[in-house]
Amino acid sequence: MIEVRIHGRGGQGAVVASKILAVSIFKEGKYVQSFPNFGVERRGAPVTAYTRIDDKAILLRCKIYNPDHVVILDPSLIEAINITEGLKEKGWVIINSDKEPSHFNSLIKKYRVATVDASGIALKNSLGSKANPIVNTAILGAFCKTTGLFRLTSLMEAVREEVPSAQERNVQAVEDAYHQVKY
Amino acid sequence: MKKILMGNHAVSYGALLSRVEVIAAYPITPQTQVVEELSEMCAQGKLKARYINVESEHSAMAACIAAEQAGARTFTATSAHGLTLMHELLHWAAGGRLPIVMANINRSMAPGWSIWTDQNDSLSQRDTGWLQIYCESNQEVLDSIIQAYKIAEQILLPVMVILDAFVLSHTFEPVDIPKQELVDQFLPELDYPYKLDVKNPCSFGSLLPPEYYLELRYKVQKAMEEAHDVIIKVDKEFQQVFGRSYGGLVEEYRTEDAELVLVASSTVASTSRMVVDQLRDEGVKVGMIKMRFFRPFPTKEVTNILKQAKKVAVIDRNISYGQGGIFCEEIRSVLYNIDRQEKPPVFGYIAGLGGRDITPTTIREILSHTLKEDKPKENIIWIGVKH
Amino acid sequence: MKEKDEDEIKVVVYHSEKEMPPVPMSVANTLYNKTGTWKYVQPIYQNRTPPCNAGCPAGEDIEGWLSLVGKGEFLEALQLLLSENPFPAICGRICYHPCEKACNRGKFDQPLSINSVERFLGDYGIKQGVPTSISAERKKERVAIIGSGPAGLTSAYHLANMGYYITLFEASDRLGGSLIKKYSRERLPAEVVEAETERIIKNGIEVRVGTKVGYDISLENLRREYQAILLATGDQKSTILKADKGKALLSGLEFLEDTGVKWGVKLEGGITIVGERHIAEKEIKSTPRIMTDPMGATHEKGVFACGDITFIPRAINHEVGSGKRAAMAIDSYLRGEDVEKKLELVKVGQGETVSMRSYITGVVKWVNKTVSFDDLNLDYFEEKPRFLAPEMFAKGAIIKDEITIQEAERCFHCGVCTQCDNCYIYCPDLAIHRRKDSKGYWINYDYCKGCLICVHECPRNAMSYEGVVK
Repeated sequence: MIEVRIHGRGGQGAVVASKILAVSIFKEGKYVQSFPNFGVERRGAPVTAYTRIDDKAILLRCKIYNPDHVVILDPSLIEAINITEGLKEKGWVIINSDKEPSHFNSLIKKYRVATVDASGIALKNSLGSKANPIVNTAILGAFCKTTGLFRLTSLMEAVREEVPSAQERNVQAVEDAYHQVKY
Repeated sequence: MKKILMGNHAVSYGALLSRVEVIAAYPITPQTQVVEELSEMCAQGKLKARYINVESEHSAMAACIAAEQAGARTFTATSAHGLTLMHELLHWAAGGRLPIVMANINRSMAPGWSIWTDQNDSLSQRDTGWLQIYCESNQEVLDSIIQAYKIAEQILLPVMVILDAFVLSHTFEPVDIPKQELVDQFLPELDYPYKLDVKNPCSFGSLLPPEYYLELRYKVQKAMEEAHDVIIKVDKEFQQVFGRSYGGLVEEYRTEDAELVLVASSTVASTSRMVVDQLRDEGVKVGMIKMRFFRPFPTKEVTNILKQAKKVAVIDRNISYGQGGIFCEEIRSVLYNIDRQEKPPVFGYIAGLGGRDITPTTIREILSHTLKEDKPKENIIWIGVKH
Repeated sequence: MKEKDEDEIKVVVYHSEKEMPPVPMSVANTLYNKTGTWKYVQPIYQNRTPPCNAGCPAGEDIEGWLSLVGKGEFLEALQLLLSENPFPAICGRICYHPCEKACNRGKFDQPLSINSVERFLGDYGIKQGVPTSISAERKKERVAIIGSGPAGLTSAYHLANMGYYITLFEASDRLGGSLIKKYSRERLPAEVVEAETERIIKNGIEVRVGTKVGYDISLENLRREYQAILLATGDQKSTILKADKGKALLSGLEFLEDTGVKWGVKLEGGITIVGERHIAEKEIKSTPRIMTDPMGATHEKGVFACGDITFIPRAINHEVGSGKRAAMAIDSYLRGEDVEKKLELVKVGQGETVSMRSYITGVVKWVNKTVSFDDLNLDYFEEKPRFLAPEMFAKGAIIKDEITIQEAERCFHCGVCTQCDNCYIYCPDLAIHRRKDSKGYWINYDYCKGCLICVHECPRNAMSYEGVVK
């Protein structure tokens, strides 16, 4: 079983990202489960969402405490909360950042770090505003490439189905991130 | 067709496929998406039902009672304080023998204010005459709504389909949405035999003097007893049509030759399966029974399975203050009349109240404790209390 | 208690739970239970007077014609309006519309634009050429009406409709009196006055313009030729009467005869014809007035007066009302009946307003109790601004039928059953039934237990209740 934890802020679409991830992988015949951190969500406050992936039916029904990978929608969270809590060694930390992975030298010792300028890609594709770019689809493109857990085409298909508007621009953002991720 | 659905939407799809005709509901966290989706289905014309907006859950149930009395298949959904606000009318629905189906998202009762899961809201409605189904997956939720109508309409008692807040209600997972034609084949149109008829006006729920009251209560109990076989039959029939079944009232998991039997319900049963597998791999003879139905209480099944065990561990995500875990107490109660030498010690664990996570570690801790002790030292064994 | 239809009563005694239904329900049909025996009060359908109607001195059934306009039945609405007032196009322009002040909707959001809808209907009538109805029965009595202002014309119109032979004397060469003298052409175009006057005259009324009674024809002659005379000479400019008090106390006609002055001259010159002493003293200094009873009869047998020559407020709606009352008084006089006895029947509200329809048909549409704002159940009304505003006419807008209908639909129909079904829906004993002829409801008092929910839930106070004697 592979467990993924997504960190974002209320309004950034972390929960939707966890569902798109689940749908993408479900399309490849695997079992999935995704859920938000059970709680009261508020705009701007740190938000966590989870996705489980397995080859057999998933019976486990509790939060994810030892994720295989984490996805960070907002780099400011790295300072605010312990984003690597329980993260397995050599797990991927995929960060929305225009910096090189080496910039995150405290993480790089224990984990594998990948960066992608999801905010820039989102703005280039007219997703959201400068103050609030919609990065939840782009970051999944980076996740897809880095982890190699599923195919880009499955992700693009899932984005088309699950995103309520601007599907093609979101798909483009996914593709851009897929090609631009640094790791 | 398989789709990634959240538990709440699995409820909505269950109601849609059951072709409910009247929905009266009031939104409450964590149930809201159930009724949002249903009102959307009504607005789009996908579901040809009358959606009644009401000002409280008490009114929601009142509207359901009236609609069902008029012969319509009705549905509502609620949670926690919404359910307890309905309390009076839950008696009315069951006493009036109205086959209403309701989804309840298990949420803890305040204060302190909580939106997270435990079973005290639904279990506090134990004596209202409603059947109660506790589900462990979104698939079971959807399927149980359909089964619930079939059961309710045969025995003329209402059914509550129950799922954990967030752990199911807000969790997305693959759900097979059955074809409408198959559901129609499985669940015929409702033909309620005691419906309102303007041509032959009768009064319903009117004064029932002591000469007759006892008899009608006797009949409610008889219907509950009759439900036992109906549930099993409906589940079997469901398997024939849809290829899925849930064991009727209880589901046994690796109980063959089990010396220790764990009793769990809802999503705790799901996680427990994993732990049972792990322990079996380690050579421990452990099994599990999932209490799918709490009402009617599966006395026969529970007795037959547990009398073969050396020890029983019950996980209750609920408590009856001044006594103990509610499932545990009922299990001890039904075991009381069996032969002394067959009676296993029953360990009662209370865990996970107010949404405290029940992880495989929690369950392992419970099982290890049970294996270690000869018999329970206390009526309640608390898990996770910070002392 | 045993009721007479015992066959409906089914007394069931169960000996075993197996015989019993699982549902706690009555086994017998509940019709045996005559809940009606419980009541000490019972509801009744009773239309009450809408405040607009009570507030209209011309006595129009405003609620009635608004209701028809709301259904788009303009012709029927106009005919109902014309049964009381022959001047909708004129009143729709110059009436100060006290109806709108009385409208209960005014206390809710904005009053109905009654005056504007009336104008719409009046213009509709002129355009469509709606005929007025004349009584098929021609009567032998002849009535002389002196003066062709709005009051005289109204009387002529109603009396002609009743079948009387009418001669209308007008001193000037044009009909209309104050209608052509008092108002600017802009406010009241001559063609509107002509059209509505013409419609009255067409009802077989003989018109003698340029004929001054007293000059061209003597009053004695008139009294010989006509069984009744109606003075409707309007607001005459007067000089102060230099007569002693004793003389002033005489009735008008006596005074005229005693002084030997010709009738018409004196009216033109400013003679006052007086009734009670104190009024005489007061009025003698201002304008000449004829004292009449409330229905227009003077002290002189067979002589009536109406309009501005009598003591009424000087406005078109009061003049129409006055002309109407005089028509009733003359008709009753000619039949040898006492018009006072009919007053309770025809009165609308507690003021001077009377209904010609009630007078003619003998049928009253309402219990004469005006519905106040507090009598309404406002839960059933929604706020809606006016659709039709008077300014729209001033701007020369073409008023669409739909706008007028929408405006009329704002009417609360105070006191008048609109068959909204509230009583029918709310009755807990299903004792209220729709009538087969679609004219409202009937109450099965065998089952009505007198809870009065129907009365309370009636939005418009069209239901009442009465005590039950047991």
